[in-house]
Amino acid sequence: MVVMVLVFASMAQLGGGQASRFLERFLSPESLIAIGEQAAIIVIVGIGQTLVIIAGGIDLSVGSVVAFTGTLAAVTILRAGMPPAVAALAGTLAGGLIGLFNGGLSVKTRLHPFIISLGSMMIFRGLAQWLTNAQNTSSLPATFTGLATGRFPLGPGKELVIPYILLWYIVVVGITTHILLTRTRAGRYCFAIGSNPQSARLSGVRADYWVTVYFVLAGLLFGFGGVVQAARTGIGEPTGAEGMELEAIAAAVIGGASLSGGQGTVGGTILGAILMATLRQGLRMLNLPPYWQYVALGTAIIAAVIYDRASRRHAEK
Amino acid sequence: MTNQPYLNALFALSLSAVALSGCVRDTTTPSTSAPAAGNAPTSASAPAAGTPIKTKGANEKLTLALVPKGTTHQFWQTVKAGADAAAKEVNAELLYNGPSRENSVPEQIDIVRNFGTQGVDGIAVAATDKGALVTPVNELQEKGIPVVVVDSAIEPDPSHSFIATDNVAAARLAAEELGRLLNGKGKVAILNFKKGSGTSDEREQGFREGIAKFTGIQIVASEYTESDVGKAVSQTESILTAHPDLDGLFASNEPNVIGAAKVFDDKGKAGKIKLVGFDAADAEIEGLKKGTVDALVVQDPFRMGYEAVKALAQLVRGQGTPQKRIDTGAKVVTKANMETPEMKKLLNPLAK
Repeated sequence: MVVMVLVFASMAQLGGGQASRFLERFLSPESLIAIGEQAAIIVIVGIGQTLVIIAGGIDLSVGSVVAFTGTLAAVTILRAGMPPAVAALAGTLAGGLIGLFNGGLSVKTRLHPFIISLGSMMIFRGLAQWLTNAQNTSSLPATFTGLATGRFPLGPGKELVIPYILLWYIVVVGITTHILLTRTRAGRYCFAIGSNPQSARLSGVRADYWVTVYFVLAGLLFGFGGVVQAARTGIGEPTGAEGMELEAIAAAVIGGASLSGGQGTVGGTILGAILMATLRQGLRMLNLPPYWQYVALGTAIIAAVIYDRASRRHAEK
Repeated sequence: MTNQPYLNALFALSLSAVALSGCVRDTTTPSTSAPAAGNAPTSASAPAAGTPIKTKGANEKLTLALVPKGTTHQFWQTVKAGADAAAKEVNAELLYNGPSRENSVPEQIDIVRNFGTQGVDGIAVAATDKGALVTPVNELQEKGIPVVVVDSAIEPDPSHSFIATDNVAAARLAAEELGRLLNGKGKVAILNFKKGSGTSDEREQGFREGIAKFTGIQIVASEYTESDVGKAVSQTESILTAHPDLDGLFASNEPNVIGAAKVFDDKGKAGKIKLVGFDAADAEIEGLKKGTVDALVVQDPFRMGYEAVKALAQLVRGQGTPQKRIDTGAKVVTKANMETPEMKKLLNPLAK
């Protein structure tokens, strides 16, 4: 939180003379909602990544899985003529299956998930393009894009409206996974396996089984993220979401997850994703050239993690 | 024991560094390029200071290659359709391969070089980067393989012909249309796609030139989207948040038009904020019909592919030199004129 405040303050500094006008607009309800909405997909996939990271793994295929499952959902509607609900389900489940592939294979082969998911990153990027002959699909119907807009047409003149649906995803996915991690046996095992797989095994935890389970859960979240991404852009984009795995890792790490496993929280990841979206929004509103946006974002990621680690060490003393 | 996780982390970080540097490749302009070719892009005489073209007889079948900037967008499928049509006429086989993403400069360089070693007779390429493609083009021509450049320029251009829309002029058309729609006053934003890409920079330049004539119009934002619809969506949202009183937006290619139209539609801004863009993918034409897109500057990609193959065949068969610069033209399509036969053909060139 302190980091967030610092970021706001430095943005105001950058704004110079127009600082107050900038802050007023930047902190307006519309702007804050926009930040939350832009962070939503990174929150969803970032939480998936957090589950895997806590269990001692990593998943590099996120961006490709998002593109694949989003495109799959799109062609399920546009080419197979299935209803949007089926498409959303198909995309999400496909993500779960890819998670089973990544987790199961790395457990069976004893290869680090880094390698396996590096492979599937390429495989599913390729398959996403194969689905549409490497082209963007045409527009998706409003009954599907409602998953991002919150407006589902039910018939002539009738509409089901769920305001701020993207923000609700953050709440629902966040609470569910938070409970899973902190209140269940499965959650405890996850931390145990991540911090020390040998001793977890010795104390009778079926580590392979649980690691696979966490990959599947993460995969379901990636698949759902892909579905929401397709709803948000209104098309299936097989080349989209490139590099999203890195944003998901960044969100988790800013939020206190450790790449050596056994550490991480859902709340931290949500904050991490929101911090990145906040920065991006602020930098854009300052009309900074795009290359400075990269520099600033990268700097903020490193600074946030250093600050987090330092304050934790301080707290432990 | 404790070392292992850190090694993993290091590995992960170094990989991310590699991936990230791939994202910001914009500025790669190897200034060491173009060793021999000192000819200015304007020189009318065909290039090839050195190796003569390996020619083939009038009845031999030719193998020509077309390398688009990316394979994802319909635009390139249309270029290919034009090239295929011409290939039939000139008795040539057309090979087609390009990077899957428009950002991927190194991938495109490899593809171009591979075609060179495969022994094709001539290559048409649309450059993903103004500077980076100069060296591979020179290498091919030194081997006697003629090159023509389509759609996106290289600088300096050692190739035999540059076949493209005059993007500056076309973007000026977009500015004039937007100025007209706004009655000459208001705040507008620009969605570019990639700094350093000839097309992107020229369209921004043309749009700025065109809009400068309207003293009542102010450009309040100018962003880059890397040709990614997801990024175009969030850039448009950010622009709207920063400038809630925005009156118009110029989206300079297909993913940008699709992303901006989606946001305007969702936020109930369609028609209120005037959207003028480039290209004519299915989703864009749907936007025009629906009223989420006000006007599209439509190029003639079919003609680009067609002219490119014709020019290559002419060179390889030793039947003269094509013009150094072939402008394939552009038109402004609106809801009002989209059903006219001329525009229909431009919007749907792949229809039989």
